[in-house]
Amino acid sequence: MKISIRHLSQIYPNKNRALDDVNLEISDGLFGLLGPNGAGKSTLMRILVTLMKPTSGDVLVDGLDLHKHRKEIRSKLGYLPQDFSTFPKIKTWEFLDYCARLAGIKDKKIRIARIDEMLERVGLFEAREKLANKLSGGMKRRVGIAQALIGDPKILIVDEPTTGLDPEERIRFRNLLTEMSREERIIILSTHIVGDISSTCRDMALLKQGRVSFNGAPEILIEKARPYTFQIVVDDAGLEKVKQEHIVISTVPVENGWQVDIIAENLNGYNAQPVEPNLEHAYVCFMELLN
Amino acid sequence: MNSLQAIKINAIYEIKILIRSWFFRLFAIAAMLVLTGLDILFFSTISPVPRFMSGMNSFLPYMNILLPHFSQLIVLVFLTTDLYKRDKKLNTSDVIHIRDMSNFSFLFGRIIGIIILFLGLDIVFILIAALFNLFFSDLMFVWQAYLLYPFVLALPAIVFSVGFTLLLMFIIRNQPVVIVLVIGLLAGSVFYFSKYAFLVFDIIPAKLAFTYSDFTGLADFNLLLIQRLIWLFSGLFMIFLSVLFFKRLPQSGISGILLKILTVLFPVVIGGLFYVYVDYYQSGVELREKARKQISEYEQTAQITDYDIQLDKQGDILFGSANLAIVNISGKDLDSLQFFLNPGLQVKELLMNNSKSQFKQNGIILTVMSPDQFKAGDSASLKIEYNGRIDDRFMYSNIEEKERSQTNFIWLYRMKSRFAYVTNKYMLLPPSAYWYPQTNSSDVRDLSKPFANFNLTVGMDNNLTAVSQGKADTLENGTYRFIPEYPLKEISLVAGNFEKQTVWVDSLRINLFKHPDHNYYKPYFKVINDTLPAVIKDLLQGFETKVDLNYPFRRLNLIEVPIHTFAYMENNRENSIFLQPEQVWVPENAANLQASYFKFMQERQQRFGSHSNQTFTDLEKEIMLFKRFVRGTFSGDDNFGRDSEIMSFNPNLNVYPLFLNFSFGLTAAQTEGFAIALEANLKQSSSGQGPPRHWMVGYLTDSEEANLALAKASMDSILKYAKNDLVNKVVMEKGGYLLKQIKYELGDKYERFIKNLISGNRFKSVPVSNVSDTLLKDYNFNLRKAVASWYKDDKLPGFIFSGFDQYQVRDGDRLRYQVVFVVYNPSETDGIIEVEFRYPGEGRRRFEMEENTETEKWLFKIAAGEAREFGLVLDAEARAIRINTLISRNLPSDYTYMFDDPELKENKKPFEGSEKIDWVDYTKNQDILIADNINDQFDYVSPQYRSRLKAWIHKDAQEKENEYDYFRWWRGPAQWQKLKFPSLYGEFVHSAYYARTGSGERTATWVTQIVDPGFYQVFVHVPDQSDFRSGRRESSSFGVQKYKIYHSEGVDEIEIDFSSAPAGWNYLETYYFNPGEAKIVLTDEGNGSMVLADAVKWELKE
Repeated sequence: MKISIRHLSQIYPNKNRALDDVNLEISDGLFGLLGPNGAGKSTLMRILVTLMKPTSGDVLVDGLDLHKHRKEIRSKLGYLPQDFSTFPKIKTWEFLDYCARLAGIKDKKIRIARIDEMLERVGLFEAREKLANKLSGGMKRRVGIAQALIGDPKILIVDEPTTGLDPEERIRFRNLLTEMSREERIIILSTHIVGDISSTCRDMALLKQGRVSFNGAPEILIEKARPYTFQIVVDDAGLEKVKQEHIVISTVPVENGWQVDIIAENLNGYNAQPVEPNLEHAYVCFMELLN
Repeated sequence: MNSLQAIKINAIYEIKILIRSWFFRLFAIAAMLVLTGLDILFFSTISPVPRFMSGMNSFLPYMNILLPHFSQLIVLVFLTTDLYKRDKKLNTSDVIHIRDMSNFSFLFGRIIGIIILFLGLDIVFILIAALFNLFFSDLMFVWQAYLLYPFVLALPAIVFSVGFTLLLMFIIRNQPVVIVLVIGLLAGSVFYFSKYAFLVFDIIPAKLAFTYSDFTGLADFNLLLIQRLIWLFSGLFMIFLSVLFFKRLPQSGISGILLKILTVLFPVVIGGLFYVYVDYYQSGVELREKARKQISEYEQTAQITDYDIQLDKQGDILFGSANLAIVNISGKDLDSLQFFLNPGLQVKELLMNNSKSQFKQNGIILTVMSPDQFKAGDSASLKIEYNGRIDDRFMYSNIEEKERSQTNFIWLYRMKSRFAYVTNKYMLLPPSAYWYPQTNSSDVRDLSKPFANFNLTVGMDNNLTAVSQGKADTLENGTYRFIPEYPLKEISLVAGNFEKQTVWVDSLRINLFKHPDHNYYKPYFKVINDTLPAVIKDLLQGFETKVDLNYPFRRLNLIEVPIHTFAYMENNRENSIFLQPEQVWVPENAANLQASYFKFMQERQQRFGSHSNQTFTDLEKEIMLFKRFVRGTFSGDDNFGRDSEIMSFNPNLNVYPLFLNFSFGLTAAQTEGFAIALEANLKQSSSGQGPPRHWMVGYLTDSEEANLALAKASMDSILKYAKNDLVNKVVMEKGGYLLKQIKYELGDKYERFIKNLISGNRFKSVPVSNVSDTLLKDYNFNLRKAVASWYKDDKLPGFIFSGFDQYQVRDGDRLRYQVVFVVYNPSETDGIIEVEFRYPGEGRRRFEMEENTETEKWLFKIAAGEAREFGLVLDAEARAIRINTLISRNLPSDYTYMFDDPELKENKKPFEGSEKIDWVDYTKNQDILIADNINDQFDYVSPQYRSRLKAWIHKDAQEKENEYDYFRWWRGPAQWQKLKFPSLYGEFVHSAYYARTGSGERTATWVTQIVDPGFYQVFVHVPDQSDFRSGRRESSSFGVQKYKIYHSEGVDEIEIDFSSAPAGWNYLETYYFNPGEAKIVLTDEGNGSMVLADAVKWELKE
């Protein structure tokens, strides 16, 4: 599978340019879409799941235009929106059954088997008889991923899946996604949490104010930030000064003051040591320094 | 995935969600429980409620759908608004929206889900009914009704409510407002909009006639279906419109276009249906208006003397051929003739004296152009070929449209009147449908209608059994010939799939034509069969004695007809459709005959039996039951209370017209009053009217209403200007009175005179002039003069009674009972009163099944200004005397006096007859001042309603303030209310005001002008407490009353206890009064449940 996004722009009636000439090529595997709130991630997602028509530009899925072949493409889609909830008064398995039917699984036996499989996979088998909207946030999110996967979609689009989850659930969810990505499908994960883009993301894009400011493997992103990542040790007064002059990523108290990670073009006047950058350094570097 | 599947999936899940809503569950469970309970209560074999609640087989499914319907729609509206709200709130059901389906499939699926759920609920309700019907009741299973109610009655209302709610939700987006609006519209459709345009706006439907007859189904199925389709389509239209507005998903190409086409097409279709529906009924109104005009302008010029009619029924079409012999009775030569013929029948060919004639049909009039001049007095033959579908819309055009537009009902069940039918399986043709050419309007069946010889041949399809007048011969299969043995005024034709049962009573053949499955009565009559002829003979003789005439026909056919025929408004009239020569039409399954409630009557018999230690054999019991049914149904003796809240109509099948109207004629010129009187008198004597039942007394009886009208206007002007209802009452009273005048003058010879007149002239028309000649010559009674004043008089006599006594006297060696009483007629008009006695064992709770013993009645005349003492000697002790003042100013017009135990008076001689005496009218005494509650010496104050709403709610009550109403012994009225009782004070009008006790807000004031100063004794009039006691309550409703007496020294309050004070004037106190106004005020304070304001008296002390 291959998704080609070409010159995609979305301008809302209030003149807000949510997407501005976005070009992306997405192929099988986990694709991370990183950006701060309001960068246009959700808009891009909604366009990809055919809930919204772009102002201009095309999206091709395996060479087929997304809007002309909506019916075909929808049948290959799985989607977990940002705020996911289910109908009231409906059990977990029933909700999945509804989604499975809508996804076109007509045979009841196959459907039941598939639902059980999905429930096992997301670890909700025990909760199958519980009312779906009475589940905890994390469990609900897992129901969401189960419903998205129930039709065995070739394209899975997950919008901000970890927001509001406790750390344990978050790790669990990331693992789940990693596991899913081993199968033959495109998973597009949109997030503003850098930690969500794990090392298993083969490819990623950074969105900033509706534009793609980076597109490539996470390693490359990290590599690009290497020249700008420094570490210094300062005292209390120095820390205040540094905070005012530079972008501080982290501060760790040490014996003689503070050990501070900084993103900067150069750090004259400090005893700065280059430091090994991680994805977080790279993200901040791209958001604040580059472009 | 195709859209049908998507719709199905969405519907299934919508149902799953809704079915779990507690609101829905609570409603569904409650409704099922209530319905099951009511099914047991009304329809099971052990049901204790009156039979008319369950009289029709279709009532069971009808009730189960209609009863919960409105509340079901309210629940539906709530859940529909919720669907919208839910969808709004969960905009993240994006997970569903990205699935492969169109907006239409998604929304329509969910909407269909709601509709299916509620229709499903109705199906559950109807299944409860079906189970009940099959296993726990003895009702016949009418499967059509089980489809009709959920799908035709309920479904359109459900679809409409959903559509309207959704559309409003999209426009207004406020749940509470939408709910109020939708429920408001639905309620409005019941109480307000349904009045307009022939119930087309009855969405629910609350008033549409859905009663399903086992013979003919619905009264107007096609029209009803159109009405329901209007609302079904309107609902769908609004649903589609909502789907168009509510763009959750992109519209798929095809369904989008389809949707747009439908939303355009629907208004067109709905408009078309609306037009068809309204036009049908509107043209009915026009047809009747035209018929009314045609009847009033019609002038009879020819009379038909012989009929030979050939009629073929093919499906719903009639093919008729009528050979008529006609006479020109107009007294002049005619170019054209006019006949009445049903407007649905088209004349195809017409021959007059065997040559083709021109003709024209306009409304109900067929005009025939005579080929040659039709000379005065000549006879001619006429052959008319016609065919078509019977149209009954023009019939009974004399009923006011307003009255007509009201649907009739038994409890919940609505029915619409139909007067004539021709369907595949049933045919009902009263003469007034003009299914054969006629020269007299059948709207009025008075005595003047002429006789003719009839000969009818009918061809039936579908193996129907035909019933008409005369001897019936079955010629070949499906062809019947009817030849009446005597001339008749009119004939009727009924055909259906009947089961015939025959009983011979001597030479009289009584046939019952009934639906083969209508057998509800059978369990009650198991052993009576062999005895039936004797029982019927006994009953017939009883009736014959009562009306003093013999049954004139050779047979009596009782025919079961559809209930819709009984949903007829004016069924108490002489032209009541249910009575036909030789025939009585009985309502389907006897559904609305109160006397058919055998179970209830059986229990009453049993109670009575054990009460009086009498034991009856099964046969005796059945005989009593049967007699009670026959008397209650066919002679107007029905003693059940009639509650117009539960049943809007109550057929009166009093069969007296068979004894008079259909078999005897009077041709009247100027003395037609006699014909009216003869009829009214027979009707009166046949129905055996007793005094009003005690617990309902106080209100105006029919005869009192008639008297009040006659005190204001003459008979002449009442006939011309009064409303039908009043005219009927006046005709009854005044008609009866004329005959009583004749009876008084003729004395013992009266009975023979009447009997000779009618029985000697059966199936003939007698000129009234002959009657008056006979009366003048043989009996010296001037009928012409009596009738003239009968029309013109507008002054009524009034009577004052006193001196009632009963004592024992010696008459030879026998001890007999002497009754004496004095009647004073101070008016300027002579008057007649009727006297009868009640004997011990009667007048209490007399057991209904006993023979009605006719008590002797005496007529007495009291001339204007005369007082007379009357004496009667009885062989047995009377308990009470009842005086009917007939046409008079007396209120109440009926007066009953209870006698004390009689003493033996040795010195008195038996006294029979009357003596003129002097009357001392003490009210003329200047020293006695009386203020009663009727004149300007009386005034009262009731609290005013402070809030407008309250005043509006009580508007009716306030308007009724000055009218008489029955005595509410269980709770007094909030406003002073007028009532009348014999023992209340008054010259002719014995009335008072009463109200419930209160805190002194209500007052009643009597005033008088004192001329001579001095000490006056003050009295208060207390009525006989037994007047006010109902059979259910032994204690008096009245207690201590407080009177404020204004006198020269100031005001004094005096109490008197009405519950223990003796009847009559009760002395309070003596005061000095100065000249001028004296006043006595009664307040509503007291210890009884109500207070009574009757009369007060000031009497000057010597």
